[in-house]
Amino acid sequence: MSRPLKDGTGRPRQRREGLVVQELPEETLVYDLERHKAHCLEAVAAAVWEACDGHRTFEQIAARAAKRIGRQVPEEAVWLALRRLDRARLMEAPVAAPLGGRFTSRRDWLKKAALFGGVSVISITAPTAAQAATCVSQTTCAGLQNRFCNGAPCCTTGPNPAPPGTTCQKVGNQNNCSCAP
Amino acid sequence: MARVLRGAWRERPDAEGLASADLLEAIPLLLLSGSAGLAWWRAQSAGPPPALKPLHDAFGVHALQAAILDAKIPAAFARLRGRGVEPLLGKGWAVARLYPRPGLRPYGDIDLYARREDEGAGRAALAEPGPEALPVDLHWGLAELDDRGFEEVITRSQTLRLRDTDVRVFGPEDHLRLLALHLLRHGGWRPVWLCDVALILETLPSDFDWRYFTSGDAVRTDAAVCALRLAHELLGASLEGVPAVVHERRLPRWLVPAILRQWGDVRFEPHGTRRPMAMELRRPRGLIRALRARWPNAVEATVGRRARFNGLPRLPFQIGECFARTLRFARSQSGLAPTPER
Repeated sequence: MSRPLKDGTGRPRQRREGLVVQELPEETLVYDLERHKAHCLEAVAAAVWEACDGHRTFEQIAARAAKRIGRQVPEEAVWLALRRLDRARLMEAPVAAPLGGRFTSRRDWLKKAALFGGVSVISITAPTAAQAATCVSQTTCAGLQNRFCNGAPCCTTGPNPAPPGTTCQKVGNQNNCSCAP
Repeated sequence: MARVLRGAWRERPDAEGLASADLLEAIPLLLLSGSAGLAWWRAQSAGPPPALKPLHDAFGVHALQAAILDAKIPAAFARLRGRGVEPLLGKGWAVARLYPRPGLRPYGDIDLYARREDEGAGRAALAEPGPEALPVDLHWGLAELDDRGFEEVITRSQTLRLRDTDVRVFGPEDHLRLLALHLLRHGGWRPVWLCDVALILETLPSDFDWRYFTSGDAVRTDAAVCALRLAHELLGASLEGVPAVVHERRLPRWLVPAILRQWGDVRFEPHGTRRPMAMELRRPRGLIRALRARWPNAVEATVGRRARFNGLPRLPFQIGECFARTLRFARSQSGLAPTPER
């Protein structure tokens, strides 16, 4: 029997509108054109997401995902993947974790799911202007240790834009680089 | 950089010999030069240490960028064919498709080459209003291959299927020559361009026509041969099956250091990203920096002056190229010539 979801159908549906999807053998990459965010779906998360067509029940999703990746996918892993996909706004409707039955508590199923790899939905930060590779995003600059400050111009567009005219450099006694004039 | 990228274009790159220290040191340069995906591809086969996250992120972004651009290529062909223009696709997708994964070889636009006489129709086609912007860089003529006839190049071209559309790409001989000469014309500043040459060298079809590859302008042919040697000496590209002219070519002593210096220059502003010189002239405080950014390196000066890659000092060619650029700029400002590259 399907477990109830917040959308009330018990048959989750993946979001397709406003997304660019690049399927690779090891992972699936998704770019959200509305929120300008990129995500990397590990194998199980990608298989679960692909199976969410709005018609399949929870059990059918688990079976389909297992067939695609060639190994058993436990219920906990499916739920964790759905939760992470939902958080990344890759589902049509919010997905609620099941409680009751074998899932005695949220902590309980999270603990079980954590034992199963491949369910991550990782946010990707654009480290450079993707095509021209001529500037460093403010996030990347701030993530570099001081010895890697490269003086490159900081990107003034994209997520977390830097002030115009700034470069990635060592500032004061900070441990990491900063975009500064 | 060169040590990190050795063999990185292969289906199963060998991560042995890739020192963590080299990788860590090169990360900023890899990110800046668009080579991060390739470095990740090579390094990940030895297990993913945390330092690979920014490289993997870059790979992911480039792969998604490729998905977005790939969808626009059929639209660009349809738009041009609708006006009777049959273009050739080069660089970008035409070479990225040969890498083991999308995203390993980033590209930002769609390079198309059309006959000079189609310029009017081509411009009109691209100016048509459409549902989406088409980032097309349309070249009139064959650019670095203009010592060949367009009809001959078309005859040797190939047709590939991309999302239900037949797209025309250069034949392997012309494409390798184009990539090699384009790399040198821009001073070899992007390491992925040399990886392109290395990749094509290692995936040549059995009927690759070396005689045709080495035909045409002798100075350009020699330059193209030098690019192949560079791919071998800097990145370890295999020269199996290549003719003696490549094996026997000795590179001038200045060439490899010039390329490595360029790859290590974190302040380099590539053409196309610089503020136009006319704007720089209006704010003299930045003029010295602007002029330094435009000083041609030894490689681009050699190509720009149509000189040979030999042992002679490069400074006279660099001065000559600088002078020629200044002249072109002055002519463009006086309306006598089109605006040169930035």
